[in-house]
Order: sequence, then structure tokens, then C-alpha cells
Amino acid sequence: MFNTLLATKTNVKIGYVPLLDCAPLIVAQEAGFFAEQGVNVQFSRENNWASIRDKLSLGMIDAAHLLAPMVIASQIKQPNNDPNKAFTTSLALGYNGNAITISNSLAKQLDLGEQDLPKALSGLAEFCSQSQRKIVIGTVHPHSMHTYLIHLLLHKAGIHPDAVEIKVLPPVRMVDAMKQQDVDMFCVGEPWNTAAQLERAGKILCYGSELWEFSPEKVLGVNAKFAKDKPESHRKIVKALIKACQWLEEPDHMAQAALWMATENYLNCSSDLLIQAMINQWHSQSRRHLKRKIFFSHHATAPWPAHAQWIAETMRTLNSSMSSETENPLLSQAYDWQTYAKVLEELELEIPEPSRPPGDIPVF
Amino acid sequence: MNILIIDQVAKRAEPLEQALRDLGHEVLVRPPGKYAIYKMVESFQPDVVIVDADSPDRDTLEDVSMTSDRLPRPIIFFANDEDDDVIRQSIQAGVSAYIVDGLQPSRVKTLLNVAISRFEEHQRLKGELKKTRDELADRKIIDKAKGLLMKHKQCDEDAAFSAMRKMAMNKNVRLSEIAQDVIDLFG
Repeated sequence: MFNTLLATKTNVKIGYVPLLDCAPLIVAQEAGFFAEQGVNVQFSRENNWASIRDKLSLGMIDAAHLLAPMVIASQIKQPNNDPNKAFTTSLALGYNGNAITISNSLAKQLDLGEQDLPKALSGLAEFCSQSQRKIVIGTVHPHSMHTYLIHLLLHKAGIHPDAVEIKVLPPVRMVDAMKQQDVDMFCVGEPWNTAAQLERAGKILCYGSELWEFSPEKVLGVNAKFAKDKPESHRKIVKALIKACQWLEEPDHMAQAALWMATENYLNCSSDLLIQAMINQWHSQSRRHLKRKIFFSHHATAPWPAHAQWIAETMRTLNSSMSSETENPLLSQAYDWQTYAKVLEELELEIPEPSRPPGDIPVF
Repeated sequence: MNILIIDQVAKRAEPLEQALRDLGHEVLVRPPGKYAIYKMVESFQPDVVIVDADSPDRDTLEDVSMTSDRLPRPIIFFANDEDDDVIRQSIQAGVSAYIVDGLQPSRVKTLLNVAISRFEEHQRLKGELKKTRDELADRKIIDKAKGLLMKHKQCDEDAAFSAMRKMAMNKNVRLSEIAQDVIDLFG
């Protein structure tokens, strides 16, 4: 038994950005789900998505915690048009997890109290139409659900995107930028919304799930060559991560996850902040936003074709310069459902109908 | 060419700035702690942006590369297959770059090579400094352990030192590790 384990032991390099939603990776490592699959995972912590993109393209890492739209972008704009440098995914790392935070000073100008979202949005629309200056909204990457959620919010409020300025800022600098009044609002994952509230820089205007009930967010992006050449290793890490997602959905596991993640090797921050952010985003009892970060239930690990389609269409709409016939074959390469279904079968889990993701898909 | 340097490490940016100036380029260094990347790109109109690959500002540059008229694009989108090694080497050295369309590949390669050698030089100096610091720290530990052994085993300095060295050789570990054990035991 031990010998066969040794013989099939595979090494895999996985990159991640230190954010709350890389939890499945850290749990799979610390709780031993990778080891159980006979996979030896070496992590590479990265400070920005561009760095992950470069290393994944060149095969310096095999897989990564990745913004879902970056997988689609890699298929549309392949470096050197080399298909080996594109990414695919067979695993989503849960729904939701982002929030849009508004600075205290803008909230004060808008006279935002504890009111419902439609009322707040009409106040925001009025401010945008009357104000001399454009409000500045921070996002984390041009190809991110964060950017798209901002556009969904603007659409809902009836604000034309040209009436605001959307700027990319690193998550680590969002709260500071808000304090220095460089941004009026931002859309970011956790723990940064919680940190903005704790540091009294801003307040959460709405959760991503209020704009799209089950929205895609991060995926496990893999280098296309790795997926092609090492399908078994690929399935093993997907399997381990599905188990980690299942494990994470248990509220009793929150404190343990926070303790693992807070350490110097991973997020290197206070575990109290992480627990606070997890309570806000993962296990909310609030009636207004029941569905926030979901790691496993409602088939939260599925790479839904409809999500790939929506992301590709939105990307095209927002970047007029982008030369792109995003054909369906490219999208099904990017979102590889077959590998996902095969892993579910091996795990004896129910395989959902690929054409039926939960909830409604928003339209602009 | 107009070259913008974005680097958190001032000690690395300075010699790189000088080296690129010596090649006859206009160079602007983003002051650390300032976020004004959008403004700098707009007013300086760089042909090339050289950036510390670890910098959290990279993703802002990704946005600039999509929205600016001059479109400085990330290097991995430029490389021909034969350039992959240069790109790989630059990423390993921790340097990345954004380059406007239409620049000659050979000119880009020269710039990258200058940046790579500066980054590697910095890495080497940092490594040497660390080594010197470690050696100094080791020496302190070993001296302390020697003193403790002399006191507790009532032997002279040479005997204490050779006892520790023998233990280190037998266990195949570094002398400072044995010294630390001695301090843990008697200290």
C-alpha cells in the first residue's frame, strides 16, 4: 500500500493570492486532503493576479486560485496564440464573497442610513447626475467579477458607466485609498470590506449576492498543457479541493480554518479579523443577505457553462477594443465540465444538469 | 525611449535608473508609497514600464495596459517562442515589464537584460548581507555556548570548542545548532 502511494506520488505547484476565498486550498493542504490523494502540493503565494497569470502561462506553476474571468480572457487573448499558454478550469471555488463598500464621507453626503438598497441606489444616481466630480470606484482587476458587479450595480441604479471612474487598486491598498479619499467606493473580497468597517473608513453598501444571487467568483485555473498532459494529477487536486469545500461549509470548522489561514505562511494577519469576515460573509444570520459565500452546497464547485458564456459576453460588451469572436468551442475548453463530472462520479457525488445553474443569471 | 520604473525597493531602482540613463533613455522612477500610476502613465507616456513583479501595483498596470491609448502590454504577450527563456529568467529574477506595441524585440531584450542583471545583483547583495548577518549571529551563539560549557564542564576554551565541533560532526549538523542545544540545556 505504502509503496504504491510512493510510486504515484505527484508534485503539483499551486499559486494563490492571500485572500479569504483561497480557503479551500489551505484547508486541502492543512487538513490533509491533498495528501490523502497522494499529491504533494507546493504553494506559491503571489501579491497580484498579473504575476499568477504570467507564471501559469509559462508553466512555472501548474494551477492557481484565479479570478474566473481571467480563464476566459486567457482563451480570448492567448500570449503568442499558443494554446498551451491558455488556462482551463474544472472547478469553481464557490459562489459570491464580494461586497461593495462606500466611504463614510460619501455615505454621509448621500445621507445613507440603514435603508434598503433601491433607496440607496437612487440617492447615488442623483448624486452622480448633480455632482461636479466623477465618483471613483475601486476594483481589483479589469477581468474580475468585482468589475462586473460594479457594472451590475450601476445598471441597477440607472447610472451610465461613463459617469463614474473605475480604477484598479490592489486589495491591500483599498482601505488606505478610501481613508485618503482616493476612492469613494470599492468592490473587493474579504477581509477588506470588514477591515474598512472596523477601521471606520466605510460601510458595506451591498453584498455581491444582492446583485447576483449565485455569482461565480474564483476558480481553480490550470495551465492547459498541465490539464492535457497530467489529467490524473489534475483530477486528484480537484478531488481534494471539493472535499475541502465540503469541509468548509460546516460552521464548526470556521475557527480552525481561520487559525490555519492567519499564519505567517498564508495570509499573515489576525485570526480575529478573518473570523469576523467569515461571520459576515460565510455564516450570516441576516435576513437581507442569507446567501453569501457558499463553498459547496447548490453545486458551488461546478464550472457552469452559462457562467462562462455570461463572462465572455460581459467582457466583450465592456471592452469594445477586444477583438473576439468568443466561440462556444473555446468556452467549453475554458470551462471543462467533463473533468468535473468525472471527479464527481469518482467521489460518488450527484452530477448536476450542466444547463441548469441555480438562480437567475442577470442581464444588463 | 521613455521608461517608467515602479519598484518598492529604492536601492534596486536607483542603479537601474542610472544604467538605463547611461543607455540614453529618459527614465522616471515612481516614488515609493505613491499610488499615482494612472497620472504618471498619462503625463510621462512611457514606452516601457519596468516593474517589480511582486508589486501589488501590477494589476493597476494591467488596467492601464487595457485602457491607455498607448497600450503598454505585459511582456508575456510579446515573447516569441525563442524569447521565452528571457521572459522566464526575468520572472524568476522578479522583474516584469509592460511595453508599447511596435517596439523592436531586440531593443526590448536589451532593456530586459539590463533590468534582470540589476535585480539579480540586488538579490546577490541581499544574499551576502544575510550570510554575513547569519555568520555574526552564529558566532554570538557559539561564543555564548562555549562560555556555558566552560562553566558547567569546567574545561578550557579549546576543549569546549572542540567538544561542540565533534558533536556537530557526529550529528552532521551545523555548529551553531549544537551551540543552540547547549544554550537550551544550560542557559
